[in-house]
Amino acid sequence: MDYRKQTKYNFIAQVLMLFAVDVIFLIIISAFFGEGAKHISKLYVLGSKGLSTLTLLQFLLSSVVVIFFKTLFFSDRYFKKMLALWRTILMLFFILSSMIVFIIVFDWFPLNNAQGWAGFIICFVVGFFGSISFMIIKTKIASKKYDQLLLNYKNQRGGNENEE
Amino acid sequence: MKIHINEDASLNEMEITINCNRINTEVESIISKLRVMDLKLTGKRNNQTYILDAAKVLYIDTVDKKTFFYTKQEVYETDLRLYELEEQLKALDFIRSNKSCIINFNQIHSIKADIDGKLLVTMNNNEKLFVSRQYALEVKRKLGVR
Repeated sequence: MDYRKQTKYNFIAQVLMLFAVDVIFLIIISAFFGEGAKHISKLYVLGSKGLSTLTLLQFLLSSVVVIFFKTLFFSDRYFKKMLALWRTILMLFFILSSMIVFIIVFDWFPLNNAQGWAGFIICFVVGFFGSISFMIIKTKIASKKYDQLLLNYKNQRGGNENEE
Repeated sequence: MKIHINEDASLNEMEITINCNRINTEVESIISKLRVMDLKLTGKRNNQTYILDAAKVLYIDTVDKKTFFYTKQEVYETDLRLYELEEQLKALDFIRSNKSCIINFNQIHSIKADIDGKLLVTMNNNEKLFVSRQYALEVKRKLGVR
């Protein structure tokens, strides 16, 4: 599979993964609050009956936006010379801004609702650090695997003949 | 430039003779290309020309349209372009790591995955080089990652 195709499939896979995590999270909150969830946010308009199609579509769109910014700031095509720290900061800024636009446009909770904002910030911070931790663990496992495969490759080719 | 080819069945090894009135950059370029075919690299350092075994080269990169190759201790400049070297050195396990660098796979000490999908490669002289996401796929394929 060529690089472009893989990038396209990776993008779709990441969107669907994020969407799945969002939906699981929403279902847990909905199940926890039951009928009372109706009063928390418009996202839980059906209360204990589950999630509305509109809510699901909004979260699918938000997943596309989040992965779009992630891909934009961490692809090889753009911002090649920017430090990873700045890429991360800019990515977080754009994702946070777009989520605020979602809150306003789709009226997820009243703008003067302090609890709503607190919940949103907690979810964002937990989600961010959760995904960072997951990525760090994933890269550490992958690094170990690559080193082992490199060793196997060298052994297959008759040892480290070029190492002095 | 005239090219003469003499076919002689008694010869065991191919011989190439260059006749010229003086060695200029064109002649040097031809010699460099022929040496690469023989898996040797011709490089300049301190105004002297060296012929090196390509297998001893760790990586080759371009900076300001100049091509350099790096051994464990030294840096040499070559007149050849990166794409010319890449094609010829594939046989020695040289692979592209990004648009301006090719690395000798046999001189890699370790490979680390990076958080944004790139690979961080440590060469046998402890220099660290990045493999871009585009070329990371080729490295992974070579390692046998499914």
